[in-house]
Amino acid sequence: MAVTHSTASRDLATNAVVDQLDGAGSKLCFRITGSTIGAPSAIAATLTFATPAFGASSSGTATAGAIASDTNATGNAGAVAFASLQTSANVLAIHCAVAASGSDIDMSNGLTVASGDTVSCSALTYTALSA
Amino acid sequence: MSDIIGAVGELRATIHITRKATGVVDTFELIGVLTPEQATALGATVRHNRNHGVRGAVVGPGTVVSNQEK
Repeated sequence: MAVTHSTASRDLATNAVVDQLDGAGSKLCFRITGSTIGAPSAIAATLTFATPAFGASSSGTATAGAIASDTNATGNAGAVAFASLQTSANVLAIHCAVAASGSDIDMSNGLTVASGDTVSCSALTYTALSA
Repeated sequence: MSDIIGAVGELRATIHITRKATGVVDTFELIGVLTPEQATALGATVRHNRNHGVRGAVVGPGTVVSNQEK
């Protein structure tokens, strides 16, 4: 039987997750394939959240504030396949795949970040309990 | 306590990569899911749109829509 969460409950869940990123220096990291939350893969780019990182959840979704660009990305020959949202102490709060394995996005001008590229994020939202 | 793996959540982001070599800006709309296996299970697709300034109209879990601005 499916469980239905009220909007208030969804806001509580989302806020509980993103509040872990309230400290200064929390980061959005883009990682290559093979990443897990327990053993995250190499980082291709690191962007820094504002403090706090997110505003309060509304309708179950929290929106990030301004995110500082990585103007000199580390880069990697492998394409970005995962993203992690983590504290300044590198404690991962959220870890997710951002592309299906073996997809056609992995091409020369696709989601591969080269050394020295600038990576920016103009919008980011998180929903803990999506429909 | 174990990490929760498989809970339904969603991360959406719009990122821009400015290529150092060419100055070209590539824009991607990302929808994050938990693992590639789950993306496959959800029927995830990946599209790559080379058209200038055209954004994908329909996206689903695990979908990555990219738009190259040249």
